Amino acid sequence: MDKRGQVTIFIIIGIAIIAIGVLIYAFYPQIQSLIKPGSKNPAAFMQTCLEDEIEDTVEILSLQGGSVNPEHFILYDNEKVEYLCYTNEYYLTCVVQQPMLKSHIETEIENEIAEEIDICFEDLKDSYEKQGYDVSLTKGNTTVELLPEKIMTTLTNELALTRGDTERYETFRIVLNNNLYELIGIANSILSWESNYGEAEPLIYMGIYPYLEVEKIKQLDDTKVYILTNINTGDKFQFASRSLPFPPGY
Amino acid sequence: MNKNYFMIGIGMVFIVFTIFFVSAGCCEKTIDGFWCQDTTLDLCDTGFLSTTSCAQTTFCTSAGTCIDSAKGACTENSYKLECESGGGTWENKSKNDIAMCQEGCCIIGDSADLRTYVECKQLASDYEIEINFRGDIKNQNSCFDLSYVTEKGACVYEKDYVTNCEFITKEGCLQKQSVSSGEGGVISNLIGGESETVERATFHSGLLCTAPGLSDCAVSSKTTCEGDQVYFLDTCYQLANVYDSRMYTENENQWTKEMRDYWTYIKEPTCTVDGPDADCGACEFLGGTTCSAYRRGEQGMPSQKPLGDYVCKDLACYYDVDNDGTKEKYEHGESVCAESEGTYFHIPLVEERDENLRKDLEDITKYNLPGSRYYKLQCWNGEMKPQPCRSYRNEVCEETDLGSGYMMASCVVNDWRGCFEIANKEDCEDDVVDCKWIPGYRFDYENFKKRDYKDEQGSCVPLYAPGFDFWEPESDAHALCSINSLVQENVVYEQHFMGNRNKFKDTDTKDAAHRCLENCYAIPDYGKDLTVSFLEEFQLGSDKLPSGTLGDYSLSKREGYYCLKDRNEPDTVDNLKVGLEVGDEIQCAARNWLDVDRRRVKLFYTYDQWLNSVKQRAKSLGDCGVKDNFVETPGQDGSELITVIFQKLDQDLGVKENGTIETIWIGDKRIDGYRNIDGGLEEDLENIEPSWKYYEIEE
Repeated sequence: MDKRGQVTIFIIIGIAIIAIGVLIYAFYPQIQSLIKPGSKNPAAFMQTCLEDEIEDTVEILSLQGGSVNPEHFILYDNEKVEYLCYTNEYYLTCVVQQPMLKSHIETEIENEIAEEIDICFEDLKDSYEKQGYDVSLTKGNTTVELLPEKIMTTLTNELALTRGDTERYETFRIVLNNNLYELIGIANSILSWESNYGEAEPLIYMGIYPYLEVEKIKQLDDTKVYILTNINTGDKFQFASRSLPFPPGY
Repeated sequence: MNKNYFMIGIGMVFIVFTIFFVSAGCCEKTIDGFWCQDTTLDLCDTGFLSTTSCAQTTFCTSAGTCIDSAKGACTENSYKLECESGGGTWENKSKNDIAMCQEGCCIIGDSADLRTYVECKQLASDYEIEINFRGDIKNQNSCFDLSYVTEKGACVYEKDYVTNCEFITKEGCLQKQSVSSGEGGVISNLIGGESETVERATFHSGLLCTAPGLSDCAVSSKTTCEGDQVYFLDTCYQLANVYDSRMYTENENQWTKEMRDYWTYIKEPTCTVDGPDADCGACEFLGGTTCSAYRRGEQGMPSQKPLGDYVCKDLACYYDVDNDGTKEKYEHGESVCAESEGTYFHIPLVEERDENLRKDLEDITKYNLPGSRYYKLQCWNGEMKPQPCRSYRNEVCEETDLGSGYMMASCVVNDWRGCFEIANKEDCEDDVVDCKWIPGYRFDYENFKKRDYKDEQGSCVPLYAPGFDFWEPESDAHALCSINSLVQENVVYEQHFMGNRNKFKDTDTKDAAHRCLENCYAIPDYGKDLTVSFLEEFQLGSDKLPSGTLGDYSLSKREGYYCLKDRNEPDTVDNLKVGLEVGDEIQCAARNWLDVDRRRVKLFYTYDQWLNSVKQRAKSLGDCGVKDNFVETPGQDGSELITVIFQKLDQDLGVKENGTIETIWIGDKRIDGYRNIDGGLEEDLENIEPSWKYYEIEE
């Protein structure tokens, strides 16, 4: 191959690399913001930095009955599905095992993302310092709230960016679109039926909430795995209950 | 005179039910982390145990309500410590008795749901809106109705010097006004929108954006899904009224006042939907239709194309329940029992049953086989989903026709345990219980031998045989299947003094039957060629044969004649003796015995009747590893054996000489060549306990 040919190839490769870089820069604002957090969007930076972690955490605990590491669970479809109501005695209704389910899930999310929050704030700080800002960061509290159609994470870390003027940020909100709030409301109702009567009828819920699909899958030991799915969004919450079990025999 | 008698002892599976209480106390928390469980003490977390049952403890006895005071959430049937360990407040009251836990209708934006006041207040605070709580509304549907009464209309505003229109709530429009005046808050973030600069937002209640003079938004044939209905969209992609193909035309000359009004004011749908529909968007989810993108030829789609891209799709299911190769149609919400292998298909509700059900279920080799399980199939949203009933056939699937072929199925508890509490035919075959009556042996082995007690002479067993986990080493099934498994029956057989008592195998079955004195039905072929009803009458009175003499039949005339050996002793089995044959008569008086009851009702009249009864009863009790399972894997051969032993008995019924154990039945297979006092046939089965015993008695 002659030298002209080699040069042509290098030029083509160079153009391709530049084109890919431009495309990534243009079409991936998230990447863009990670590379260069704008001076006016630390909130966007935090949203981008944390939303995947929150989403992953929510997905895990949604499939595991509301706990990242379930203590007592049944293996269903390779998932550890936590018992939210349980009895080991035949012919008895179950005892609710997680009475404050919503709070428990909020706490689980808070704990699970705590480390990532610190990392994100450090990244944020570093990136601004590299841009010549004098950065002051004071650690605050993290609260996660399950709201209708949303999961809102509020960070009260104080951030001050100084380069001439000083910009202050006191609250960061990360909002994730999710129906966990609604699904937990249904789950609590089902648990109330399970603990009072030993059984809940999925059809009742599906009749009231057209967007909802409720599956009740009875296992061999009379454990029931409930799978609640929002058919519009695909959001899912599943949990297990063992109530009023009948033995094989007496 | 030598008289050789043989006695037969039979054994089949008999089940005695015992409830094992292994609980040693109440664990407030187990080492596995469960709360309030009755269990053995070694499974208790340290410091959380009590030696009494949970029902007797103070901490687990009465479930109270756990209150999340900060958020207003209340959970019933929770226990003190588990609640407080999670930061809640526990009250020993029902949720209904706690003021803070009373729910009302909480209206947030255009949605509404039942919440406690504190929950609603928290939500309103999160959304930075005024709380709208209706404590007087406790009903879910009434509350939902409020979500649709929110005032809606056209919100017209200017943005970047352009007039815009959005079809939204009045509240939303007011918020635009507040945003335009710089008062935007967290709500804009929560609803996923961005702060925007708008001017002069004006709300036109009840009008659509296509109302004349409001904006540049114009009518269009575009549609979209909103909830479960199809809506028109205008050219600004704002919602208009429910899609109705009669309300739109491309030909301007064909527009009527009604059509123009339909694109000016908010109106209720004027068309109705009943099945897949390309012309009307008023789908009803509970009625079996919902909005869907139009996909030609797909299941549930209308045959013609709609104006826009969306139609009312039929949510019916098409599923081959009966496995005949053709899919049947089931409506949305309809359910039917699955035809799962080894179960009885399509059991009707109690009040709709006829005799055929009981008759069919007598075929214990076909229905309720080990491993089988009932399933309900639920049609929902176009998909037929199987819902298993309880395992071990603790539930069966029952179904009913609600009218016009619309089926409703449900898993119903199979209360087979209750059958064993019933001791008479009438109660056992009552429609309200799923049991069946097997005439013959009773569970207490009482034998009344009287016609008046006929309806109590039998066993009440489950109509749907339950499943047991007999393959588990620690299973209760072993006790259930084996305790009292030996059912022994004694046959007294008299042999002519010239006969060889050691060669039973040379004895003709018919002759043995003819010379039988007691419990003759256990002799193979006994009563062959005669009906049970005939034999019943024969034994109890007529003495008349269809033709010929007794020697022509495998039948004994002498059976059923009893005398009291000791006149002064009560009429018990021990005091009974077969009468002496004098000519054609049986006479107690000839032996100076008391003729107390010459003819008594027999448990069984033929060999087949006896064998079928025993097998029916044993197999109906549950799964003990005997029956073939639902995929036709055979049961254990050694589990259903009928074995015999011949023994010579002396005049006082004492054993004079033992014969060998012989197997005459394995499962449903009869093995010929038995009745041998000299040696067994099945050397490899020697270790199996005999279930029949033949005794030879010398008189």
